[in-house]
Amino acid sequence: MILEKEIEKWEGFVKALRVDDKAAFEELMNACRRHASAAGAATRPVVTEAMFMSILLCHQKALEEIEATLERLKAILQPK
Amino acid sequence: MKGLRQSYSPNSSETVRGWIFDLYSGKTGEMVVWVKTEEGQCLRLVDKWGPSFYVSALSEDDLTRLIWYLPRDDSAVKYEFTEKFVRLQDNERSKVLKITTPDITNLRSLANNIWRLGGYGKYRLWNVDIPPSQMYLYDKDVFPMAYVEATIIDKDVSWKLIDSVESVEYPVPPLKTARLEVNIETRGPVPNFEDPITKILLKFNDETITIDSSEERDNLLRLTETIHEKDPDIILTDGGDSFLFTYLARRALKNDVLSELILSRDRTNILPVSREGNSYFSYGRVYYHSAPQRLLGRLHIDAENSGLYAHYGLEGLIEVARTCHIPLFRASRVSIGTCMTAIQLYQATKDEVLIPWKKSEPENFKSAMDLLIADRGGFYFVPKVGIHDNVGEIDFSSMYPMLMLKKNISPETVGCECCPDSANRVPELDYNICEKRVGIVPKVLDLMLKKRMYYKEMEKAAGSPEERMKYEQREAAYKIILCTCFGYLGYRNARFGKVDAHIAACAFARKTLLDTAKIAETCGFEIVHGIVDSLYLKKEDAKDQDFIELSKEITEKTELRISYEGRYRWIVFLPSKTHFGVPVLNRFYGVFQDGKIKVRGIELRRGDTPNIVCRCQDEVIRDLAKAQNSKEFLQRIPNTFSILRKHTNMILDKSVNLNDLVIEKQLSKNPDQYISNVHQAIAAKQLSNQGLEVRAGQTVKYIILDADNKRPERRVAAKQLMKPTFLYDSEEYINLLEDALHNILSPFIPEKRNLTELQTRRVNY
Repeated sequence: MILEKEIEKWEGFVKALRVDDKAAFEELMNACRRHASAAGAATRPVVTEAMFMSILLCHQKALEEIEATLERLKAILQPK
Repeated sequence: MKGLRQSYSPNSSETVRGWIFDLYSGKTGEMVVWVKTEEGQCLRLVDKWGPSFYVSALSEDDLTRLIWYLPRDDSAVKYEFTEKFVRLQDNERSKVLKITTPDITNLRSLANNIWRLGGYGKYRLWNVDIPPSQMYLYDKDVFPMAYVEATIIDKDVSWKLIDSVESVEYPVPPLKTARLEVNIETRGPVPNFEDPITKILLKFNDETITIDSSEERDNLLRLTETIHEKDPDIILTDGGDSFLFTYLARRALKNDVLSELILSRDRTNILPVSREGNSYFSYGRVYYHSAPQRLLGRLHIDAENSGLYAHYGLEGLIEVARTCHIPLFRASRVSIGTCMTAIQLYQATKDEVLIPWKKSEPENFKSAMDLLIADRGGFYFVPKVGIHDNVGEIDFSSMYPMLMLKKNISPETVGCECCPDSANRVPELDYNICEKRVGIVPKVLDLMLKKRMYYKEMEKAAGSPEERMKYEQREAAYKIILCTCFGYLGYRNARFGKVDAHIAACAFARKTLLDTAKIAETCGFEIVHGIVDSLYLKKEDAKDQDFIELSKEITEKTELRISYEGRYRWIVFLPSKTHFGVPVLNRFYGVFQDGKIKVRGIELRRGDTPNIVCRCQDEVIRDLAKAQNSKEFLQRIPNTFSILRKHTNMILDKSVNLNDLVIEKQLSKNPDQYISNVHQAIAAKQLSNQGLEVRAGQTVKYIILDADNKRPERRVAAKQLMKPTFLYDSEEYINLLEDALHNILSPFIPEKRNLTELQTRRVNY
């Protein structure tokens, strides 16, 4: 699988990370794995482009979720 | 031999009616055809016939000159000029040289000579390597198990077909079947050629004949007599190809009765040496096929070597032989792809198109970017890991074959030279598809798709179990053929394959799935999972009718039939074993509203899982299936621990039957090629050491005795060498049980150690 081969190429980067950073990196790679089908459909010659787009998409969704939670909390905490 | 019936051959000018049962090359220039009459007799007809091949060249002069170089002294070789379509995409016939020879050996040596004479390229050769029996069927336009009228005139047979390959309701003559079993006085751990016969059993539908004389010689002679007296059409064996018949011949040789051991109708002997089988590689796996043992005039089916027979039975085999124009015996041994090729070759012969010998159909030039866009498979939506309520499944019926038929996808139509501005274009790639003619692939698919549809309908409407089984087997045969037809478009050895056609079919399939997803989303459905030709959708409070309405809309808009498979009470999509939380394709289990369970990709479905693990996982899923929704499912999880405990206790008590612990694995290499001591390699080496022929592609069965033993040969024991006193490795098997349970509960219990902790009352071991 092209994606796994690309992730392997980042081995040096991963080795230089601290334990908690490694876990975060692995989570980013899982984001890419979850969107591998869409990334394949994008047919980008440079694989990392599709990987970064997958990561951005995940971050966007996480942001939206945080915003929605924040809005809910605001509504609860705001004095009526 | 006394009591041996002579096979009956009709006289000249006689006319017989019946079904074509078997055919093969006889003496030079002869084709032997066995016809099963309505009266139950099997007649041997001999037709004077020789195979032909064709030579084409750039100019007619080259062909004329070629004749002068070829041997003229053999009157049996005939040369004539004729006109044929040389290539599939040709619009006009070309002048070619037709060479008819008396037999296949002659044909091949002549073809090789011409190939050499032309400096390996000046002359193109056609129709060279088609099996003669198949070529005879194409030539005479008849097919196996066809009802025919044969008239014998001198040494020729004239055939009149009173049947049609398109027929779906055709009579099949009653075929007498005998199951042959031989009991061997095995002296070592596995039977070998030196062990004598103790008993021979011939099981017919209504009786079992036991041959158990104290003299081995008498047993062999009585076997021959009984076979000739009872005259079965089909002989079923377990291992007839790999061992049984060679063993019988060896015993006959030892008892000096080899020349009298005749089990075929054609009075030919069995050879006391087995021919070497072959290992081959397909879709990442190595397979092994023993060389087939033929009993000319009868159909020998070896359950161990006729893989497809197990899938679709005799009805399916007959259906394949009829439609694909491939002799019954050949159809029982070759891959389904070969059957698929046979029907294409027939279609080509019918359309007067020549069949390439050394195919040179290069792929159209593509840039790296073009290749990146084009060289892709089907599309999928990754599943949403976890449990989902009220999910409906919709599947396209025969999506790829239907697309190939409707979009006219064939090697000669995709990117054809005659319609560059065709309106029929491949999505994403913009390849043109021919509008002027129907391709060879859609032509053969049309008949098969119609037949499959008919048998599927009839299977549902069948009045009796026998009838249902008949249609079910015929339908199963088409299901397998239609699955291979798409892959064969891109297979480099396919006679009529071209990778561009393969790419085109994938592009249409991707577009269809994406269009379908769009329709579903517009109707308010959420896509839980989608893979190539099926979608798993959910919508709050959706009922069956909502999914049926959606299916109708999709069918209307895509012009492809999509069927609603049903609604799941709940369905669990499992994550990857290596990357937690990351979904993987085709690993799920769920329960339909009617209680039917569907599982994919888990241990239960794998061939290498021991019975004890399958039973435990099955029991767990059956228990979970009592849950009506995800809430009840989660409440039932603790029950699964007691099921696991029950099975672990059985293992610890040593009360498990050794057969239930057997693990079956396919060898990817020959035993001596393994470097690491994986379990299957150890078991294979144990068998090899006992003198058994073990090759890559074969499966080995073994139990784990002591997985950590320093001496590899003590870690496992091959099933054949198993003794009832053997003690198995409890820890290893309990580990397998826990893995199997953890696998299906992993979305709810992320770590395997949590599972172990949750089994509070687990027995210590």
